[in-house]
Amino acid sequence: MITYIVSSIGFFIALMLQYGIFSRWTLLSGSADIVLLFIVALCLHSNVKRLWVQVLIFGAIVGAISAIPFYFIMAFYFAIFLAAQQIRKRIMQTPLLSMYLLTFIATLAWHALNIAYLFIKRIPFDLSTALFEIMLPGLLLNILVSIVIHAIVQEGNRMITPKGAEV
Amino acid sequence: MRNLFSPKNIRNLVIVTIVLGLIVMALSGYLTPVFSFIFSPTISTQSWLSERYVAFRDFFTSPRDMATLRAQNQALELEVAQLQTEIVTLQENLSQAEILYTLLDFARAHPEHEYIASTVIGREISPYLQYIIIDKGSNHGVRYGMPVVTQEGLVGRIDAVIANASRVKLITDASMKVNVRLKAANVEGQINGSITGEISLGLIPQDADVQIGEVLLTSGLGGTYPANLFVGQVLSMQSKQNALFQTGSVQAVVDFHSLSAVLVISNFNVIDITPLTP
Repeated sequence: MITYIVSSIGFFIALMLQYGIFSRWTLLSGSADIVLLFIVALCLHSNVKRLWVQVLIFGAIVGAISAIPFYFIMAFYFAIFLAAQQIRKRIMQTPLLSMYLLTFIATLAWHALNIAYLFIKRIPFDLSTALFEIMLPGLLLNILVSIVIHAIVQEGNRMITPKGAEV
Repeated sequence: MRNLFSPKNIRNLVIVTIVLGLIVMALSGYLTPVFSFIFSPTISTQSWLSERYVAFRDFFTSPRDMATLRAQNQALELEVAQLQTEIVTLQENLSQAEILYTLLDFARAHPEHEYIASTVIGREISPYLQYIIIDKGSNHGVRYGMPVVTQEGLVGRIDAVIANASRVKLITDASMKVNVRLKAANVEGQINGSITGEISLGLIPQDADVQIGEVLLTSGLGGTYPANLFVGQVLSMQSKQNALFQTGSVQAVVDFHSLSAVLVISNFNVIDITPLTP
């Protein structure tokens, strides 16, 4: 239970930091997404049984605040959860590599989802602008910030749950 | 008489005379060298003794004094830190107050509207969409579609409302279109946002003479925004021979990256023309 509470608190802190600070802190027009990074790190490190439920709830909360429809974000976070499960089975011996890999994939997928949303809404935009001014700077920032988020979530997880224990 | 000049009396008289003489000489300063000669070694000895005593006393009492001083120093440092925090808080309050005073000036200059002042508390998570979150919602009278401005000009409109917060779609959003009027050229056009937050100008007739720096105001067409709100200035214009309209780029008057407080126009009735749109 304590794991759910602590991860929820961590999520809300990440959410507030994202909306208050990181969304305004841009490189060209791209920004780091620490909520996404927190979800990625949580999916990679947490051992709780019903993590997928928590991830769906997190997706619903972000979707409720964001202008992107909530079901898009819920489905996206659930996909991150599934991808994290697959990565954990294969390369969990190197957690940082897993974090980098999943951050890379998830960031590209998040931008692809945004672009798909713009297509669906028939909002005109320039694809090269999206690629060079938003996607690549955002990817770079996410990769850089992922080290910090990974360290925080990993240490937090170690403190809460003993190694190998399944709550 | 015999008793008056007795040896005893004479001796006493001599002693009194000598004492009086010494006092007079001392008061006159004649005995200063004598006193110096006598007291110098005494004073030196006293000084030496006193210094040793003080040193000896300090040796045993200084640790306690150091601890007291350290405690006092720590308390003072804490007080300084608290005062510095207070100064920063006051400076922040002052900055916020200045912004609110400016907004108040704007509200006084435009008495035809009623305003709800609110603070910007967040920005959209998707980098492709240009939205902000403000701290006033339906409990404060904010409703869907209400225009949002600052003292500088148009910001956007309310896109979603909950009890104590609202989401504002900025005019820089890619899906945003605002009908504008070019003041000097007296022509109407439309501005469009983009995914990077830049604003472009369109639907300007080919024969219109638009100058760089021309001021753009809302035209009021469409019923979404009040007329005559400041939007921006023309940065550049492009005219192609085979195109129907001129296009251009616009510099918004509002700095959307540093928005901290906005005004929601609460008495403007938004006209929904969606059913009339083919």
